[in-house]
Amino acid sequence: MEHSALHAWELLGQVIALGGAFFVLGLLRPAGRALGGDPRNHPLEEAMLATATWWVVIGALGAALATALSILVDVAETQGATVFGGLPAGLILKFAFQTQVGRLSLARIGFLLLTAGIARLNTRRKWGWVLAAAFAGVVFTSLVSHAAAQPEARDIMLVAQVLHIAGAALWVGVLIHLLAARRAIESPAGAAGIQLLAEIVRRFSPVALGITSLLGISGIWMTCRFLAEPAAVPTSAYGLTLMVKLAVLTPAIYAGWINFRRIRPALLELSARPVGAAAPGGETAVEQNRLLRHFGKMLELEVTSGVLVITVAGILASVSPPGGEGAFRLTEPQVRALLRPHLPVVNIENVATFYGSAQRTIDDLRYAEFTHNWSGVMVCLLGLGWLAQHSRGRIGRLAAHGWPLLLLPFALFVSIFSDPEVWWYRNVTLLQVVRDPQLLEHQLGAVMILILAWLGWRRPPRPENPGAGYALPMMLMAGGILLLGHAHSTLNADESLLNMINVQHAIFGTFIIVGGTVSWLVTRGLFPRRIGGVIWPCCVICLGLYMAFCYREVV
Amino acid sequence: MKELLLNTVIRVLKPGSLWVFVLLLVAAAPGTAEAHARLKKSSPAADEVLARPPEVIDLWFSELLDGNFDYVEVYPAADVNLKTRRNLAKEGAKRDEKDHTRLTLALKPLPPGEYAVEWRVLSLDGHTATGRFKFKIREPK
Repeated sequence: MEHSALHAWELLGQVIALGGAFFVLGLLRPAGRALGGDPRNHPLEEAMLATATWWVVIGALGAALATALSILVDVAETQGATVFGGLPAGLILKFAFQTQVGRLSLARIGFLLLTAGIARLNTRRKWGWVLAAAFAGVVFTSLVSHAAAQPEARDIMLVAQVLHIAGAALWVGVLIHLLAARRAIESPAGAAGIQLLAEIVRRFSPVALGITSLLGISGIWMTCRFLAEPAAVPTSAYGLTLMVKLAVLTPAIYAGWINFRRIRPALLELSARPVGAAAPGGETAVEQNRLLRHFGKMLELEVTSGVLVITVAGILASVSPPGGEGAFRLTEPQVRALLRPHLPVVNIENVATFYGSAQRTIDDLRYAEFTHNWSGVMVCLLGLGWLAQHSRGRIGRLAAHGWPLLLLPFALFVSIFSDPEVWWYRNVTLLQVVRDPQLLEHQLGAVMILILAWLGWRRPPRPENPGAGYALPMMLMAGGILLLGHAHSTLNADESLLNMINVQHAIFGTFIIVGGTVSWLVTRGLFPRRIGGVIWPCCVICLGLYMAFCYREVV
Repeated sequence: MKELLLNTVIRVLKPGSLWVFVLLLVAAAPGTAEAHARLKKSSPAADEVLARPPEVIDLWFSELLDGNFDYVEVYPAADVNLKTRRNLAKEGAKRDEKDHTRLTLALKPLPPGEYAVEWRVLSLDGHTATGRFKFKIREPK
C-alpha cells in the first residue's frame, strides 16, 4: 500500500518538475518572444514564470522525498514488514549503497534535488539545465521499473517507459502549471495578457494532441506486452487497474476536446480584436472574462483527471501483470464462482479452530467471506443513505443524520472481525500491528471509516454540499486507492487464491474511485449535480452489492 | 541551439511522425513481458519426490534480480510454524552472473524427509517477491 502511494507521489512530482521546465522553455518564453515583447503581456508572463518556478521546486523536492521514503519501504518489504515498525540503520545503508535498486534511487534523488536547486537560481539561463536534470530524474525512475526488470527486450521497454512518463509530464505537467496560474489568468493581468495566453494555447494544442497520441500508443503497446490476451483484462488485478486508469482519463479527454474545439478558437479570436475593444465593462471584456473562467474550469477538470491517472499509474507499478501460463489471472472455476451470486454467509466456525494455522483452511476462507459479505451489506446501506440524502425533503434530512451513525458499527466490525488477533485474542502488540502490512491496512481502513463518520456528523448538510464537503470525495478516492493497491501476499495461501483476493479488491477499488471522482467533480461544480448526485451513491451501492452477494474465497 | 533542439522535439511530437516510431517499436520487441518476480521453475520442482538428496537448489525467476538482497532458506517442512528455523543451506543464495534471473543455493547433506524452500527476492522493479514450495527425499531402498 505504501509503495503504491509513494510511486504515485513520486510520479506526480516528476511530472510537475519536467512539465514546468518544458512549459517555460517550450511555450511561455517562445510565446512572449513571438508577441514582440508587448508590455501588456508582462504581468501575466511574470506571474506564470513565478508560479512555474515555485511548482517545479515543490514537485522536484516532493518527488525526492517520495523516493527517499520508497527506499525505506523497499527495505521493509525485504524483511516482510512495514516501515512503521522501524528499521535498522545498517540495513538501510546496505540497501541504499549495495543494491542496484538502492544506488539508482539515490541517483534519482540527486537529480531531483539538482532540479530544485537550479530552479531556485536567479538567472534566465537556468531552464535548460532544469529540463536536463528533470529528464535525468525520469530516466532513473524508469531504470527501477517493470520495464527495467524484463529479461527480454529490456531496452525497448525502457525507451517506451521513459517516453510514457515524459509524455505525461509534457501534457499533464503543462496543464498543472497553467492551472497553478489560474488566478493570474482570471485576473485583470490575465485579461490584459490574453494575447499571450492565446499564443500559449495555440502552441500547446498540437503538442498536446501529439503527446496524448504518444501516451495512448506507448500505453497500448506496453499493455499488449504485459497482458498476454484481451481476456486477461477483466480477470487480473492489473487489467482491472488499467481499466480504472482509462476510466479516470475520460474527463481529461472531454475537457481537452472542449478546450481544443471551443476555447482555443475563441481565445484566438478575442486576442485578434483591436487593442481598445476590451475596455472594462464592455461587451468584449465581459466575453473575455467568461471565456477565461470557462477555460479555468476545463483546465481544472483536465488536471483533476490527469492527477488521478498518474496516481493510478503509480498503483499499476506495484501490481503484478498477468504473466504467461495464466499467472496472476483468475482461473475458469474462479470466474464461474464470482459470477454466481449467493446470500451473505451467516454460518461460521469458531475462529479458534483455524486461527494461526500454517495454511488457510476452508473455515478460514468462509470466515473471510463472512466479513466481506456483511461489510458489503453496511456499504450498501451507506450508499442508499447517500442516495436518499441527494433528494431534498424529510427523507433527505433523515438520511443526512443517519449515515454517519451507520459508520460507527461498520468501523468496529472492520477493526474487530477482520483480524481477530488484534482485539479478540489480543495476542499481537501495537508494534506488531504496524509492522504487519495486512493488519495495518485493515486497522487503517477502520480509522478512515471513523474519520468519515466524524466529518459527516460535524458538518451540517447543505443542499449544494451534501455529505461532508470536500472530505467525503477525498476519503472515497483515498479509500479506492487503498483498495486498488491492497495486495495480499502471504506464505500461507497459494498464488491462485491470493490472486483471486487481489482481483476482487481491485473491483472494490474501481467502484470507489469512480464514485469518489464523480463526487469530487460534483462538489467542484465540474459535473452536473443532478445526475452526479445519483451516480456516485450508485457506485457505492454497487460496491456493497458486489461485496455482499458476490465476494468469494471458496471456489 | 536550445531552441533548435526544442523545436525538433515539438516537431517530432506532431501526430503524423509518431507512426514511424510506433512501427519500429512494434517490430523490435517480441513476446509478452513479465512483472514482479515470479518463480518460473525450480530444481527440485515443487512437490517433487527425489531419490537422492540434492546438492544445490536452483530457482529461475521471471524478472531480472538485483542480486544483493535475495534470501533463500531450506528447512524441514515440520518447522514451518516455528519462529526460528534451522536453515539447511551452506551459505547465502548466489545469483548467476550470466543469467540474472537464476539463483543457486548450495545445501548441506539432507537426510530423507520433507523440506520447504522459502525465498524472498528483490527484482530490478524495486519490489520484493516471496514464495514457498516443498519437496521430498524418499528413504533409500
